[in-house]
Amino acid sequence: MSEQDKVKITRLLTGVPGLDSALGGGLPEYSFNIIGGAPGSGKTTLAHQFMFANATRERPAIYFTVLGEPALKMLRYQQQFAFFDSDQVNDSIRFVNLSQVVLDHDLDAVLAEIVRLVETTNPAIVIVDSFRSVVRKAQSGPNSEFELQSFVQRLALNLTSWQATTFLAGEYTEVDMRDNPVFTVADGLIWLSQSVERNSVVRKLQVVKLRGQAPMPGLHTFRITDAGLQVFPRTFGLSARDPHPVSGLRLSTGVPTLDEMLGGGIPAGDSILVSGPSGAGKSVLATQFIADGLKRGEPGVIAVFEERPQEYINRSDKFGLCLNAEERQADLRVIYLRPLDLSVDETLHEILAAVGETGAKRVVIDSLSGFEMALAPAFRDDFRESLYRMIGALTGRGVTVLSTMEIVEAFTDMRFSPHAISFLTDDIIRVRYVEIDGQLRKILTVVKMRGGDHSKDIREYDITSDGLVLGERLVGYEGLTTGIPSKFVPGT
Amino acid sequence: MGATSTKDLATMLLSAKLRRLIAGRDSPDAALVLETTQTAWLEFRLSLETMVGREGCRIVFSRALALSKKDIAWLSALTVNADGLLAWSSEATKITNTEALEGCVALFEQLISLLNTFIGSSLTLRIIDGVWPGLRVEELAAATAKEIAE
Repeated sequence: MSEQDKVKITRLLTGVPGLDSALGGGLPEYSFNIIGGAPGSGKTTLAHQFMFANATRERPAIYFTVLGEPALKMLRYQQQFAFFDSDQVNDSIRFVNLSQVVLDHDLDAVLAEIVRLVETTNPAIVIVDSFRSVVRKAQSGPNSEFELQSFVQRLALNLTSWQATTFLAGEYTEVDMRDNPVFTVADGLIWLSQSVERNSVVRKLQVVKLRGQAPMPGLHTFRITDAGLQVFPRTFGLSARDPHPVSGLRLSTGVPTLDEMLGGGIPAGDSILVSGPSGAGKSVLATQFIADGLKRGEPGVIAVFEERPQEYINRSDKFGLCLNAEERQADLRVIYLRPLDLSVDETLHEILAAVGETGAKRVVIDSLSGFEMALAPAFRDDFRESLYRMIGALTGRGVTVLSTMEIVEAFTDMRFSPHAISFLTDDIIRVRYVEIDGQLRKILTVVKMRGGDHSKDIREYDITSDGLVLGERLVGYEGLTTGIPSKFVPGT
Repeated sequence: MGATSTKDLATMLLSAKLRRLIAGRDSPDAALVLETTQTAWLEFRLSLETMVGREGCRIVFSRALALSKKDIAWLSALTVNADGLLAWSSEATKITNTEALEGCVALFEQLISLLNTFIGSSLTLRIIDGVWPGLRVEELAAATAKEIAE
C-alpha cells in the first residue's frame, strides 16, 4: 500500500507543553486512551488541560465524573489552573455526573447513559473520570471479567464510531495492567507517577503504548504548575534532528594566550570542561568566554546554580567584561536554577528555551557541581547519563558549551572531575593551586582536545582586573600536577 | 459577586418566578411563595444535577437551608427530603407572604453563595444562566427593587 493510500491519522495537540513530543506528534484523533496513575499524580489535570485546549462549540467535550472526586471540588480546584476557561463550561464543555447511574444500575445502564449523551451532544472529546470506579462496579458482579470486557469494548466501539477522542482516567497500579481488558482495548496508555525521595517529589510520565504512531520511549519528567502540566521529554525532541555539521570554526575563550594553547580556540560545537578548586578563576574564564562572544555579536546563555544572576553579572564589571552593558542585555540570558528538586530535563528545557530565544552559540554551565546539588536526589544517581543527554542536546544544536566543575584539591594527584564525566567533554582545561616558594600560585594546563593538537605546557596564571591572564610556562619544577612541586635539579 | 449582589440575584430570580406565577392573581400567599421556590429549585437542580449528581444537589441544598435557618427562624419548618426536594409543615404557610419571600430569598441567597464559594462566581453565573437562559443575569440586574415589592 502506498503512502497516499493509507488512512491519514490526524493528531490532536494536547495543550500540554512537551507532551506532544513524548506522544510522537500529538494524540491520534478518535483514539481511546487511558490516563493511569496513583491519586494526586495529575490525571484529572491532564484530562482537563487536553479538554480545554481542544473543545470548541463545533467540537464540544463531555466530562463524565464518576464516584471519584466530588464534581464541585474538582471544579473548584481545576479552575485555579490558567487553562481553565469558565466561559467554555456549559458551552463547549459539559460536565456530567454519572455517580447515581453507577450506584443504582448495572454497566449496561451506565453505557446506555453515556451513549445517550454522546448521541445527543455529538462530542469530539469524551472523558470519564474516574473510570476505575466503573471498573470496580463491574468487578463486584459474578461474571465480572466478561461483563467488564464487554462493557469496555462496547464503550470503545461507540465512542470511536461517534468520532470522539476519549480519555478514561483512573487510579491504577502497574499490577492492574495485567490481564485487564481495559488496557487491552485502549489505543493509548499514559502513565503518571510520582516518587518521594528524601524531601523532594519527582513526577514522571510514560507513554506505555500508543497505537498508530511511535511515542518517545522512557520516563519523562513533568511538573504541575499554575499553568497545568508541563512535560520535559527526555530526548528534548532532538532525536529527529540532523546532527549539527562540524564547521571547523574556533571560538575564542577571551584569553588569546589560552586560545593559542588550545590550538586556535575552542572548536565550535564542542563541550569543554574547566575543572579546578574553588576560587581558582573558573567562573572568570567562563565569563570571559561569554563576554568575548557578545563582543563579536554572538549571543550567549549562562546557567548559574551557585550565585544569583545579578551578582554573577555584577562581578564581571571587576574584570572589565561589563555583561551589564545595555547593548549586551538582548544577547545575554542568565538563568538561575536553584531549587533542590530540579530534573536535568527541566534544566535543559530552560537552557534550550533560552538558546532558542537568543540564538545563543555559547552556553556556560557554572557549575556542574552546583547543578548536581540542585537536582532532586532521585536524579543525582543518573547524573552522568543526564549530562550526556544534556550536553549532546546542546552541542547537537551547534552550541559550544563551557562547563565548570569544582574539584576538591588533593595534593597527591590531579583529578579532572569527581565523577567519571570527563569522557562527556571534548576538551578539558584543568586549573589548580600549587605551592611554590612559600606561595599558593595557580597553574593551568590543557589536558585534552578531541579536535586536534594542543599545548602541553603547564602555565602559571593570575586573576587580575583584566580577568584571567596567562603567564609563562613554569620551568624548573617537577611534580607541578601534584600541587607540591620540587625544584628540578638537572642530573639528579 | 459579593454578598449584596448574591442577595439581589436570589431576590431577582425568585421574584421573576413569582411574577410569572401570580400574573393575573392577587398577591401571593406564603404557600405560593413556597411552591414557587420549589419550582425554582427544581429548575435549578436540573442544571446543577448534570454537573454534580442528584445526591450532590441534595447535600448542597440542605447546607444552604441549614445556613439560612440561622438568620430566619421560620425556615426551621422546612426540610430537604431524601429526594432532595423542599418539604414544609403547615406552620410554614401561616407566615405572611413578605416573610415567606424573605426566607426563600435567603435560602436561594445561601445556595448561590455556597456555589460561589465552591466554584466561583463565573461558573455559578454560568449555571444560573443555563437554568434560566431567558433571564440573563444582566437582565435580572435591571429588574428593580420596586418590582419586587409589588
